[in-house]
Amino acid sequence: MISARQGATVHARPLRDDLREIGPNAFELAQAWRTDMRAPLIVYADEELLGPMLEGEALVQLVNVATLPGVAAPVCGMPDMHEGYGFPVGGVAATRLSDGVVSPGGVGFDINCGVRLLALPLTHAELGERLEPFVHELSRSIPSGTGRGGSLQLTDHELDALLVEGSPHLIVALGLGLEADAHHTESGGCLPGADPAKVSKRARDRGRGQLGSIGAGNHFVEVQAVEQIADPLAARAFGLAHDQVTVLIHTGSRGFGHQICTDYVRRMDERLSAYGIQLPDRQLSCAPLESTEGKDYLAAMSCAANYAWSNRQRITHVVRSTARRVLGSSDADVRVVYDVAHNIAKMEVVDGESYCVHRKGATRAFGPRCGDIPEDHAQVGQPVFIPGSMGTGSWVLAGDDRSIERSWGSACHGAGRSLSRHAAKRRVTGGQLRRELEARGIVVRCPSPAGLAEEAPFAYKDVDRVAEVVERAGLARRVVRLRPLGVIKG
Amino acid sequence: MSASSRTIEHVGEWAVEIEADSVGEVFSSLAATVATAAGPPSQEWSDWEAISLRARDPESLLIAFANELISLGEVHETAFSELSDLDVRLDDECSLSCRMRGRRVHSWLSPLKAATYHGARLRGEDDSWEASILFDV
Repeated sequence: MISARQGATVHARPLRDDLREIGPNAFELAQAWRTDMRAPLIVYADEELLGPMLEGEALVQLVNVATLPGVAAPVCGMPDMHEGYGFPVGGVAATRLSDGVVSPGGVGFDINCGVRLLALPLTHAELGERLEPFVHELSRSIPSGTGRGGSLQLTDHELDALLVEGSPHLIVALGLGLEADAHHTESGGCLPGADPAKVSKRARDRGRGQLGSIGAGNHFVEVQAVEQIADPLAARAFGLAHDQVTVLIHTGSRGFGHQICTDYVRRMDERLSAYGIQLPDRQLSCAPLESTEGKDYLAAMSCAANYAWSNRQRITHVVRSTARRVLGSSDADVRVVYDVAHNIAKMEVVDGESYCVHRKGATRAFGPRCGDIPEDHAQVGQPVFIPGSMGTGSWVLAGDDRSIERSWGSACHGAGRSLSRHAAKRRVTGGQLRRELEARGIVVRCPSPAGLAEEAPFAYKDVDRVAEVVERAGLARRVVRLRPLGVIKG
Repeated sequence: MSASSRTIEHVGEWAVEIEADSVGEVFSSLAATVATAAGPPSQEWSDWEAISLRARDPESLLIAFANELISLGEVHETAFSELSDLDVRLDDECSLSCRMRGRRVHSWLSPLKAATYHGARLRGEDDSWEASILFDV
């Protein structure tokens, strides 16, 4: 057992022998392992995925998360968990509304970074030689870099409406989508309680001109084909067939969300002593859910979540326009399969009690009986997406009812990084990587060679292993595997 | 006066360590480092922007300044690299005021989302100062 000095950062790290296997691909670290822990940890992984978590700081960070006031059992690590700052990426923690806190670090700077999958009305074989012009036109139509350059410029009034109403505002007021799009978006594309008055001018200035853009880093738009069907029933429910062309959109709330997180981490850090909160890591900065700071953060975070859903809705509209021009499809032919957030905090009721469920690099994975999922998915469960890295596959899964008790209804969000960006750039140049991908028939569009190298496939964990572990752990089950045909990176 | 900075390994993010012979040079070096990530610079210089920050401790001041460089830089598409009239105080309440300017960038390409408190450090005295800061990318 490790004793923790209050207010001090404890560097002791769990060893493999400290973990007890409690089920298939599920390892528990007991609450008693450190005196300031308020809940045990459960890490979902196999031995190979567990190794780097033990060697690096991810597990120590998850232990720190378990010290948050009001945190409920268990605090969970997903199979793709890796070191972050404060919360690890791939961490899930639920805090009780009655006595718990909300932590902006448990959401992340990119609030509602998430993934949307679109299904197109043709197969890869039918797409044929139109693949390259399709990818090229998408890259020309969707601003990818950071800074200004969004495809939709908004007045203050329009921005406020979007922040409160989310993606339905773009659909209904601006005509940039179909009603079915919102039905197939987590939370209907809108978190309630958003209040633009809780958002700083700096956040508004950063976000105003960025709507409809991807952003940099590991954000992308990827054209794919269904390569493998693991669950035919669920695949039919999701409307996915063998060799069908899909488009995966990965982006979030851009500078708008980044600024909100920055503002509130700072504000909460300054008030920690007023609430008698001591933390092993300041990036876990938090405030009671019922406090002014806590409520203000949730209201601002909801604005950012709604901004991100609107961002992905705007990009959907651009994909439809491009598909119409290049492929001759109609808007209705390009269908939203689903849209999930993977950096968010949501108020959810479990066994009659309200919790703030923080998912940092983790997605909701509700099963058929969990509710709040589209009617056409109700028999099979909510779609869950695990994008791989460039050049590797991605998985579509279906949420499992058992995820509620095992991981607060959560699964992982991707393959998870295994190498730093600098290490990746030392091993390969952007030009080399582009040539390797193109040699495999993958069309690549990326404005930054360095940015491309940072996202090399070898910098990420094995997505097939991660998906298998998610299924064995009972969080979600594999439905289809998608393989990349073309990628547009920020 | 001199300062050096280097980026160090961190899975997924961008970590910077700075050594300098004055606290002012720490902040100047930080500005120069953040500016390198902004994107290809044009020949056009921005106007001078005056900023004033307060924080409860040196690390918070460092992070607040880094975040100001990122957010103001993104809004104005400017790599703020040059500081003038810099006044840094690390007393009971820490503060910084300065004017800053930089070259406008053709396109803001910085992957830096924000500076984090994780592992943030600013310490030193007289002519030996060091700082480290981790950025979310």
